Amino acid sequence: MKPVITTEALTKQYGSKAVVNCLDLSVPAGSIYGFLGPNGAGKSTTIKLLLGLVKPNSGSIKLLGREINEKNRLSILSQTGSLIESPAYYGHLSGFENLQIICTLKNVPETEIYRVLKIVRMEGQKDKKVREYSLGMKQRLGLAAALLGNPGLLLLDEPTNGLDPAGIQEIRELICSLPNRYGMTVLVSSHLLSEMDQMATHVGIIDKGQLIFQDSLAVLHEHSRLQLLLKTDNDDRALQILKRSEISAEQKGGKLYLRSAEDSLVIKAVSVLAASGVGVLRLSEQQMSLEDIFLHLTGRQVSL
Amino acid sequence: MMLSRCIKSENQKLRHSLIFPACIIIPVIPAVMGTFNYLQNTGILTHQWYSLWTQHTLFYASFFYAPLIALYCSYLWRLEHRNHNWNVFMTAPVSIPCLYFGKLAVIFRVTLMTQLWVGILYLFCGKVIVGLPDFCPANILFWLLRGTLAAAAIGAIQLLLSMVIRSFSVPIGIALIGSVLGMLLSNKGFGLFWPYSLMLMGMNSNKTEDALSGNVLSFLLSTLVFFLIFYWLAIHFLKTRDVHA
Amino acid sequence: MKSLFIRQLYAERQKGRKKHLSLLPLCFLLFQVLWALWQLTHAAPEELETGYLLLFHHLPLMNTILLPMLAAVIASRLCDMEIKGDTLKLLYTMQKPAQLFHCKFLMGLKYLFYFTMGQGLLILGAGKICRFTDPLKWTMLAEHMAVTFTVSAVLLAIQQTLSLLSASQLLPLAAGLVGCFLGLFSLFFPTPIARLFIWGYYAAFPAASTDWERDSKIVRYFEVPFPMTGFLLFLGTVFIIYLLCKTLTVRKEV
Repeated sequence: MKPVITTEALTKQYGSKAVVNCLDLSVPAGSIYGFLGPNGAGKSTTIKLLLGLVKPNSGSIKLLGREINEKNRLSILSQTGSLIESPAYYGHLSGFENLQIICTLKNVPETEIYRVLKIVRMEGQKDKKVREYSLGMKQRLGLAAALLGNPGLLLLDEPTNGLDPAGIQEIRELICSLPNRYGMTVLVSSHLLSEMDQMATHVGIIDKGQLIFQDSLAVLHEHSRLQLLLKTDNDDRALQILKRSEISAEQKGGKLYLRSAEDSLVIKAVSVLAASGVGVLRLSEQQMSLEDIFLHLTGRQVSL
Repeated sequence: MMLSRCIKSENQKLRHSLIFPACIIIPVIPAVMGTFNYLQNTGILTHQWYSLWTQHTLFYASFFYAPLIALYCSYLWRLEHRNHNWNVFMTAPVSIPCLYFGKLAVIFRVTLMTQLWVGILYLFCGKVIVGLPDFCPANILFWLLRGTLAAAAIGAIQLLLSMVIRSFSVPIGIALIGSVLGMLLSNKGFGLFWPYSLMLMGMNSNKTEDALSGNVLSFLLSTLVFFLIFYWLAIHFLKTRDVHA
Repeated sequence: MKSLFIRQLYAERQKGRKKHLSLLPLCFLLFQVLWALWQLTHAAPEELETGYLLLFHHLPLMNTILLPMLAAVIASRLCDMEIKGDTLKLLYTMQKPAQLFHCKFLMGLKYLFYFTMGQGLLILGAGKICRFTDPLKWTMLAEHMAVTFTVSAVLLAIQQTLSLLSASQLLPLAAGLVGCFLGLFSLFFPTPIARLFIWGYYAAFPAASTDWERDSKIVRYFEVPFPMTGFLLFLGTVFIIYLLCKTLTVRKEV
């Protein structure tokens, strides 16, 4: 698949601090690209760079196959929709009137408004002043605004912020349906790994301004190698025996794990233990959590 | 002490704000320009301290004192109007009059500072720059005090306006128009019935003899009545209207 | 299909709905009407013989007191909605920052235009109602309105810049107040110094001046030729200030 977003060595510094550092993004067409990272990792700045709201210090950006510059920025952006950080709105106007303004600027017929309102299920509240909306409703309105004109590319910065669990589920399902129904490519940022697990087809992980992982979700899962939890009647002794037989194992949180789930290794481990008189009680597969993967990739503990 | 806590919290809200720079810089303008004008026209302006007082405070008291207080009030309410702070403000475990009085007290404090600063600038310009003889007449200091009292009425009105009109700028515009109207009305002798005239009359900026001589009591009464009316209206508004963050 | 610029202007109009922005110039104008009526009904009959000149002399003074604040309030009303709703980051994905600046400016200019027209009508109406006996020179009226409009326009540009750059709106309004002050004081300064303050330019190109006889205390109004070169130079300066303001606003990242 041809990439829809490509950046090369994209860098943005504030003072001497690089907020985005040599970023090489590649977002394939038709994908849902989960852009992951802890708070303050540079996700929002990257999205603002992609939209041309913030000027990079160095590096280049290609959107929809075209190198972006000051001249063609708006014509490229007319085929994108975006929702950045908190929703943007005019409080003294109704939701419908807010969308009208965006239709005018994007040159999209106002009949579109009904379509997007239906998608985000906001038909009922369209005539209320946005000042009186709840945070979740404002977020949906922002999403509706991004969907106006059926853009080929959608950039969403933490779109589930402030939504209730049902709302989060709804938005997730909506995002998941976009590539198939409308042929859109979606880049979604989030600080929740579990959320990406349910939505994304591709994942990029950013930490301290640097991209530390980028590939399909499947590859990420391969990183989360299977481990085997081994329960024996004497874990301490079992560990010693396994080490002596050069079988890679470790004890974490009082539990014994085999580092590989390769068949021959498992057979060897169990037979060695049985031969030494250690009783194997249970053997179960354990997947690394995404938090563990992050730890594995960055080598440091983060609260996500 | 509920009230002192309210005042303290309002003071804390003003930290790192531009209010204090505004209250320092804005009075410098009439001081510099008034002194300059005085020095240019020493031929006509022969009443020394009194003439300098007129030069310093005529425009300030006539047109800008009320908008300046309006600016303080608008800023103070904008803090609540934004970011859902109304909810926090109205759920604080203190009575509504206390809450509101906390805001009023802060406005008075900033106004008092402004007036003190106006006084210091006046004395400095008179003594050091112009080199006027003696110390300034005591009744000028009395006028400065009267002008400060008049701020009680304006503070109450502007705080109410900025609370009800959720716009930063409109109440300031109202204060300016009110002031210009106040100048016209006080020229016609109706000054005591229009709050925006009170400062001009209290400061006695346009005459060298006291325009209020013998009328000080009615001036104070008028200030008090206007203050009470607008204070009561604001409390009534806060008590009866739904909180709308 | 409407052109992009027209659509951007139209969007500004859509944003202005329910803001009742026309009320602002209307209120300031109503106040001036009241003031003019009050002034004229108390004028001596010989003053009414030069009634138009009297207005051309006094209105710039009134404008100096009121219009910097009108410009500040209009600009703040127009720009504060973007600040409150955090909308600039959305708008800048759809339009060039410079064009937003132009459109906002034109929108504010519309209300200043209403005000200037209203003041023109005020002069005409006052002449009819108070029966001025001097003939109205149309060139004088046009010059007065051109000056009022141009000075207000440049103040609007300055205020709009401050309003877009300041999150609290305290700075632009304080600047408006400072401007009023400087303008008013500059009227009493020697001309070279007065010209340093752009807020005082309402009275920089007067169509009429006064002569004061110390003995009879009669104020005489007489016509002054319009300083066209000076005005053109001023227009040039206005244009440069506008460009500076635009550059300052556009430079800010959202």
